[in-house]
Amino acid sequence: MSHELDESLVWDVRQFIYTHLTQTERPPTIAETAAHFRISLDHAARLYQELHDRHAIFVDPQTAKIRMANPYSAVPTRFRVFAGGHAYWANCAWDALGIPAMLGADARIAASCADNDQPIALAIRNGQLEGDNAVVHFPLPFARWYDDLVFT
Amino acid sequence: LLFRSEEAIRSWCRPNHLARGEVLTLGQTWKLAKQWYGNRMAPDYRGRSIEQVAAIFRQLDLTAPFWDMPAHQGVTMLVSTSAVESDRKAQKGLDSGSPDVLCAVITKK
Repeated sequence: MSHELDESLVWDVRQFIYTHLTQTERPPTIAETAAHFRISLDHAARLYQELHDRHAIFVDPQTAKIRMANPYSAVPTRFRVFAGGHAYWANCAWDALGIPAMLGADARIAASCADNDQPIALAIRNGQLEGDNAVVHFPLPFARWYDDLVFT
Repeated sequence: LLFRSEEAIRSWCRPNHLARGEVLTLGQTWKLAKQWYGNRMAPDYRGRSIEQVAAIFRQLDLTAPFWDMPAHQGVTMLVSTSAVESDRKAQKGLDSGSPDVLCAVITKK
């Protein structure tokens, strides 16, 4: 499939997805992407699939919608990140810290313990980590992260 | 996954029948997040090769077998052509454009 697609357009679409998410807190639909680039819905859908195949985004196979554009999550999670006047969902603890790292912004993170749901509050201020003591557990070795990205 | 303590990890692993994986402090995870996501919004983003991922893990002293690349475990990893090109430029001392996200196709042997 990839040989049929314009390589620069693939990356332009990726950039559009991230910019859209940053500005609106949600990923663009296929229709919004098609309209922005003045391409067909089918073409936009193939570009999403291409980016999915390259692990640049994660497209839900059931809905064909973007579920993840790491560190952003398009669905609610345990990790709410407040940065730059916006509220984002992150996929995991790493991604919750990844949002202020990516945006170069201060952030407040409202999370919870995976075992007992106790709230855990974190913050990034002037590049420094502040907040509760907690630990991050990676259950799967790196070699298996892409076997099941949602679980990972 | 985020846990209040090591005890909370053990409590979570038991009913899920999972072995304890690797545990990082929040400080380590913040360093990893900066390395991993620091330039993901860059317009010249073109993916990240497996060698670049390995370099990040080494830089953060994540050297346990847990962090090994798939190729070390009987799996072939092919990186995107753009990430390979970035590696070639880097080896030649050219600007690699600091590609970010892991962009790989994993093919199990």
